[in-house]
Amino acid sequence: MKNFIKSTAFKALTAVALFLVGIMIYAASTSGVATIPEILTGAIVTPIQSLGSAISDGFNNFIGIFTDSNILREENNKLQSEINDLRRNQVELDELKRLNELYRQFLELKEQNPDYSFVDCRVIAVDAGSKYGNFTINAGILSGVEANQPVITPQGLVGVVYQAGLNFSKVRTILDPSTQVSASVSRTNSGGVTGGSLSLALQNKLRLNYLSRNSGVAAGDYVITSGKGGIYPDGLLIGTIKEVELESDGLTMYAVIEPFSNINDISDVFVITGFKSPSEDTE
Amino acid sequence: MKPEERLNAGRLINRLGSRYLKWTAYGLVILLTIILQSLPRFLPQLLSAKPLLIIPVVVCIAMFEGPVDGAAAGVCGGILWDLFSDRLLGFNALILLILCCACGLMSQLLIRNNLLSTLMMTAATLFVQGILSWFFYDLLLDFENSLTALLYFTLPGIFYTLILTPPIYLAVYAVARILRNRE
Repeated sequence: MKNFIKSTAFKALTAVALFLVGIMIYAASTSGVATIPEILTGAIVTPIQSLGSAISDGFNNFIGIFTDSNILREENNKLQSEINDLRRNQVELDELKRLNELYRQFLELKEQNPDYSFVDCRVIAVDAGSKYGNFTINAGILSGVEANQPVITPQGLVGVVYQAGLNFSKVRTILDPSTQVSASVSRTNSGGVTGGSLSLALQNKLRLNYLSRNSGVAAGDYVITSGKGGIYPDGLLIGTIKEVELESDGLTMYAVIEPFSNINDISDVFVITGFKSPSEDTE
Repeated sequence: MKPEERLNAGRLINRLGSRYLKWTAYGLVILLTIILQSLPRFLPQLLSAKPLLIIPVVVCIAMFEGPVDGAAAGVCGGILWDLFSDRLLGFNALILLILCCACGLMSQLLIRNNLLSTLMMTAATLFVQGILSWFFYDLLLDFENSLTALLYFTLPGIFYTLILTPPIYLAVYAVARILRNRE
């Protein structure tokens, strides 16, 4: 043991450990842009991760053929040999259908919001240690994605980009307490700020805080982004209010929101890379 | 060159080639593990936790290859893990460097390298990494929900990963044995 501590190898390991501490300090001081080691490593690893994700989705789709539908099973009994060929073709068709559905949703979003510019992306990695479903997408600076850009699905807002590399970006979901969105209730126009908590994130829910006591908000109301702050465009769907409670201080209220998107089960998302803010409209 | 010198040079080249082959194989194993760990729908959740496959892999490599090589595996695995996680870059790399070095030293000096000792070292590594991660990212940042994080994520994650450790040990053992036979 003493020989190991006096050895050159131990000194080298100590130097590596100090270097890693330096990297951590450097990473903590950058905001929004991935550090140079992350950019370099991510540029190499991201395509491999994307391939792994595509293979995994293809395998899940193939398995889905067997578990999914009684109709397929009945057809399988009747036309065994033709069904075997159709299953092979089905895998290819499912992928084409997925892309078609994705682009149809993209077109719908674009028609509803002509001032938005989007980048469509795929979720390639979900952090195994993340409690809030934070994930990585396969688009980065080279695709026009930057930090603090909203990430949505056709159902609604799912998160925000907090770090962008060359060909990948990390997204923090709206369930994460660090993600706070200026929001309002569509029916009453009452303003608040969304925020996550771990106990609610386990149920795929989040909070809308700082509601005034006479806001008139009720279960079933829709929550949308208010557009204040400039990060999120106004009118993005967030979720439905499930319950309204009084805060412990008795001065304000909070609402529990269930997002429209199932945060833990998304595969394709859009990043809004540009939009017209309400102040630009009035000018 | 004398025949003996030629023979020694040949042996050195063979050894270097074997070493590159070994570390290429281990590098691919670590990369594959990180990809599998990060895939969105690959493994089911236990409570709300997912297994941290990279930890038993790098611990097994450290147990087979010693403290220095184990630490290198820990750093590589940790850096790749940090790349797809919301932790600071270097956080898991630093933890795994120290713990894998310790596992390698234990394996060389104190304990035998078998499945049981690997399970114990993996459990210790998971526990230390889990507690450090919980302390810095849950207890300090979100004190109210820190107990929930510990009960629903950290401890189930440790337990889930330990269940998957034996097949990982056998896989790394098979790779290590093939590579040693080549050397």
